[in-house]
Amino acid sequence: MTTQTTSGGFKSIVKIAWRNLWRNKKRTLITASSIFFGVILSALMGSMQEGSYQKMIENVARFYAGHAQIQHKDYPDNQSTNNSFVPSDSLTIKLNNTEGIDMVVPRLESFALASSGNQTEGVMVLGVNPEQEDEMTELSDKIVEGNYFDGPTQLLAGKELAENLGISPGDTLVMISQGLHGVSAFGKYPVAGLFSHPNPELNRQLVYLPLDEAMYFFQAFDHVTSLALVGNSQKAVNKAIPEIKQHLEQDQVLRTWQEMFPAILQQIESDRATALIMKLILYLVIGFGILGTVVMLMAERQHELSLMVAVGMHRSKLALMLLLEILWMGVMGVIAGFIGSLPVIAWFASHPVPITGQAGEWMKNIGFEPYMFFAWDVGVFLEQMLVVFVLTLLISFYPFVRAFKISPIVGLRN
Amino acid sequence: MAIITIKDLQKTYNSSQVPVHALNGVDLTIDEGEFTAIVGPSGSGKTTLLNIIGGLDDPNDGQVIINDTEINHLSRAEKIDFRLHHIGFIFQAYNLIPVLTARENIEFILELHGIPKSKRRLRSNELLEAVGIPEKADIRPRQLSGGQQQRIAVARALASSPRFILADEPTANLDSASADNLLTIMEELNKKEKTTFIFSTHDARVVKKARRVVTLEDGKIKSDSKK
Ligand SMILES: Nc1ncnc2c1ncn2[C@@H]1O[C@H](COP(=O)(O)OP(=O)(O)O)[C@@H](O)[C@H]1O
Ligand SMILES: [Mg+2]
Repeated sequence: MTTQTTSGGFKSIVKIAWRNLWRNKKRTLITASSIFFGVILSALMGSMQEGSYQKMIENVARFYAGHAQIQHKDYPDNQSTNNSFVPSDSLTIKLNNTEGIDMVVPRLESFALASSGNQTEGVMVLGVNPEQEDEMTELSDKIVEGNYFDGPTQLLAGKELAENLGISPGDTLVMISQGLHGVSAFGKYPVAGLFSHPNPELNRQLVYLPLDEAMYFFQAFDHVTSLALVGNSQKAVNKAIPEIKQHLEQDQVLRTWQEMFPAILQQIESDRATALIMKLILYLVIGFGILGTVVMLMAERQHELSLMVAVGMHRSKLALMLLLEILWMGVMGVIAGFIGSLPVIAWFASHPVPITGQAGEWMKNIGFEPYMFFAWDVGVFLEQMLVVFVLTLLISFYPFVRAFKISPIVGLRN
Repeated sequence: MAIITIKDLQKTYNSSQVPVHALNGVDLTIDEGEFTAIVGPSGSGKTTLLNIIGGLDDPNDGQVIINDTEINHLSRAEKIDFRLHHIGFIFQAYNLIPVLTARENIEFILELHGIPKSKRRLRSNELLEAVGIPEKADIRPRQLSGGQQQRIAVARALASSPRFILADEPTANLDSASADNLLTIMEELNKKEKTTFIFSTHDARVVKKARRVVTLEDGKIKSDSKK
């Protein structure tokens, strides 16, 4: 007598697995929908996270510093006009021609004392090109009183600074500082308008001057402290970095917003860690839901699984059969979750959720718009789909392993 | 010719506090073509004996030799293949895979053998006919009566023409008419297909149909009579 191994029965395995899936429709649907909601929830959480990060980055990068800046190599350590530089025309042209860079915005920035009457405040003077600056940061939209640069020798002041100094549009501000190479700087400027920036620190300290006027004030003709680079996304700018670095002179450095604002990066990182814990809890809840179903299913099928081994089916086929069933359930839930989360996230992406009450006030105070923003980021979906699917896969290990331990002794339970 | 030779079979269950000697030195030879009943009161060791013959359970001592193969020396996987190729099983109840129809349950075994669809169909038709319920071919077990389920189980056990069939109390859950009917079918197939049948029972009317009756008591053979 011979005992040859047989590989037949795969069609039956697939058939049985498929029919088993629909044997307890309610349970299959409950399990699949827990996966479905898991994908939606985690995708929603993920897109909310990414949305808020993008907003934060946008606030500093897009609306203030640029995605990156070119500075004098000593400027990061000592932000003085002495560490400014004269950008060559060829550099500006090359930067403008770099793919991924939309704008190159020159700025001259330093500190000064500003006084009106007998009030004096330390201020940050930012010399900007009015048109370019407006294009980049939409500064004119932030004017709350007066106008956006009426004339070449006028300035814009932060709302809070103006209150502290007791000035309003039309008044004159006197500023003194130290210019290039230690010359003394002195100027009298009429106030064209007051702006309100979401960042309260800027509101309290910042004064905008037209670039030429700032150069004159600091006696730093043609000098800038930075060239702000703006692309249509951080990614596009990051891609362009190696090329930009080739154009730089020896005493110039390129700094990304991450390098300029490490605190924001840190905040994002720590927020990611917190969010990961929340997601892990969510995955755990989904995971145990699926596991519960699977454990129940295995207990119920004990008899027939034993029967199949008794009559000559290999346990490996049994394992495959159970794996198929759980995977189908997972795939169903994940695909439904993907399709279901598309409209939900699309809606939220275009309808940020306002944060009201104290939390909203608090956000405004620390310089954020009081909204929950959602990112429309396909990567987030795919990631969550994948995670939940892998979770299902992990859980299907349980029946898979159990299948190899099924006893062929057919009990009478059922 | 001997198809099964059993020598000094011992089986002790140690799961409870007191060890249970379910089989206490069983010697038995089954010849080809037999239609043999294993009888004895509940707890006498019938199920244990059939499970060990079928390679579903292992003895503590002794041998089961099927033709020239000592089944308990086979690996786990080899035992499965051995069962598939040489033994048909009928259990007391719930013999069928619930999500497959009657016909699919019969053909399931044939598919495990890798037999092509057209041949499977011929064989399942033949067996459905033989067990007398061809009209139930496409019905799932849940919608069959207990007797009909057992008849399909007989057909399934015979599907690949195994050397012998082990049936552990196949009529225990049936009323006497259905039990009688099932035994008649088994008897006919024993003759027609020349398949050896070994079935356990404690139903006197079923015992009457057997051509050989082996009586177990406390894990030992108490009597062995042939008609
Ligand atoms: N898995 C088991 N664990 C412990 N004892 C068992 C087990 N299976 C059977 N037995 C015991 O072995 C003896 C024989 O049982 P069994 O073979 O089922 O007898 P029968 O089928 O004749 O009723 C009984 O005393 C029974 O309680
Ligand atoms: Mg029994």
